Amino acid sequence: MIGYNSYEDIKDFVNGNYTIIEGEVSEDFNSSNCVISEELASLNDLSLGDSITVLDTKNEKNAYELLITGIYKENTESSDNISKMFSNSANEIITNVNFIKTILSTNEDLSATITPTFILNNKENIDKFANEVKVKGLSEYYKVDDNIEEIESATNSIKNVKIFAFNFLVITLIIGGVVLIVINMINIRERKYEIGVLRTIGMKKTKLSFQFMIELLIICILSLSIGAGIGSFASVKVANNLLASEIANSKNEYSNINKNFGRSDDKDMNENNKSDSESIRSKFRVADISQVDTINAVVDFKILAELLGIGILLTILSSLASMISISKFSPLTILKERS
Amino acid sequence: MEQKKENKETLNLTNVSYRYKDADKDDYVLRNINYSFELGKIYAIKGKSGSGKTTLLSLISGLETKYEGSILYDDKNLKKIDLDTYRNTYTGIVFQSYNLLPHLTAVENIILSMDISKVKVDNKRSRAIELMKSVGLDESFANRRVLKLSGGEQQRIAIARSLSYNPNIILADEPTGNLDKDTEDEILKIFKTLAHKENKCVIIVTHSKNVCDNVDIVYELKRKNKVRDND
Ligand SMILES: Nc1ncnc2c1ncn2[C@@H]1O[C@H](COP(=O)(O)OP(=O)(O)OP(=O)(O)O)[C@@H](O)[C@H]1O
Ligand SMILES: [Mg+2]
Repeated sequence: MIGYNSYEDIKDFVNGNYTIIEGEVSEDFNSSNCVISEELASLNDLSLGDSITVLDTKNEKNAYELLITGIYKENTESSDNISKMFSNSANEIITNVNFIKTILSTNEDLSATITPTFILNNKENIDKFANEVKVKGLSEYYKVDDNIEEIESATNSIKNVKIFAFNFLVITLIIGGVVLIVINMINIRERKYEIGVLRTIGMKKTKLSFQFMIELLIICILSLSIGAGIGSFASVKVANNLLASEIANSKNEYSNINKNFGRSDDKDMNENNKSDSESIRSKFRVADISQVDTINAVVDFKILAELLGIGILLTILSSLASMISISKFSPLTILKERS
Repeated sequence: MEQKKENKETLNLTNVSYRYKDADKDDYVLRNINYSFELGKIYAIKGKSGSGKTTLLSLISGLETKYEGSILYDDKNLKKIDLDTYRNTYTGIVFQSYNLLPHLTAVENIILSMDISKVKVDNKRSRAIELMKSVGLDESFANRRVLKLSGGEQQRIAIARSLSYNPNIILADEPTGNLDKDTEDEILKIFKTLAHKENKCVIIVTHSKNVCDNVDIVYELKRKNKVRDND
């Protein structure tokens, strides 16, 4: 006999090993109810709404009634049929923690395994949490377990994407820098005559270089803002589309899970007029986390400022190259080359 | 051959020799040039094509500094002063190939020079148009792109540009080379007025006999550097 106190903990239903074929897993985790397997029901000629009596093997005076609210079917085509034969999961009666507590309180000789689950909002808190429960009197027979590896393997792909994006950025910057220098050189070469004329009528090298740099900077800032504008616009669209499909996916997933518990979507809809996904999610504790359904801006100002900084730096660096060439040419040679 | 007392020597060339970097060791374009130029006078430098007139002008205008001998401007060695200021304030240069900025309009080219020289002019645009009128270009040319002007028109814009910041010395390389006799006379009149009325030093490189006949002093560039005094 296994007792739970939330839908979320009944892993077998969440991941679809079990699905309700009749009735439902009751939402009421306080009253005496249970779900049993199809096999158990048919072998004992039990059906929905029947009651089963549970007897305390150590004290037969203690008897408990359990109302059958649902019958489930096992979906796992598990390969180890032999182990199944011995453990016989079909004998499992799924009920709630409260019921088990009631049984335990009447007879101290009975034993049970308690597996409380805590959801932490930050993986940094795991150790602190483990210490805290020990300080607060958790017996040494208990062990604090976590699923950090599971979570990390899930977030690993995000980390890889991050590293890839960073490398990509660095390569882009290097190539961009080289291209900028080359373009600058070509620009200077093409405007040699202009430089020559300005120098012969007495414009200072420093002022001329500065002017070229300002020109480049204006172009750089202009193109950066156009790029960032288009980029953020496009990425908002893309991100929202991704998000929409992600939300649809999770909606789908949740409604599938709900079906496993024997709860249909429209039933929920009638019960409360919260939004679709919200009512589904509210059965789960994760519902506490608010769902993001639109993103307005992807480019934040810090990143924009960084981009601007990089752009300006690249511009200055690449115009240094042209400044050197400006100062090396003598105006006379430049003009002579032209004529 | 009378020398006016108030005329002050502004440029002095002593033993100036020059050869191009890639030329033979003995192949000097200019050899021991000793010229001097005074304010209030108009000069002509003549010589055959290839005799080194443009080269000499580029030395005087400070565009080339790797020469032997010395060039003094107001007793200061050109090799030791700020040549940018020298070019944008004290000398106005009219190049044989005009050297205007083709993508700017006529007026913009002139204003650009005024901007660079930091000369104090109340209304640069009207001053530019005034200068254009003085070289025979009416206002309709003001906003035309230089690229769309004839050679003679461009030459006159270049002259107007060189006068725009009121320099002491005007160096002009064949300034009337593309002009008819009437316009040439007009330009000559402007140069003469500048020299005689405004006490400028005007140096004109020319082939034209008409120009040589109308200046105060003619220098002739030859490989032997013969000097002839016309005054
Ligand atoms: N950059 C250069 N490198 C080498 N030799 C040059 C260079 N520029 C000019 N020369 C040579 O120097 C000599 C003088 O040239 P310059 O342009 O001063 O002549 P010029 O008197 O102005 O002739 P023109 O009347 O045709 O304008 C010529 O023989 C020319 O070939
Ligand atoms: Mg010449």
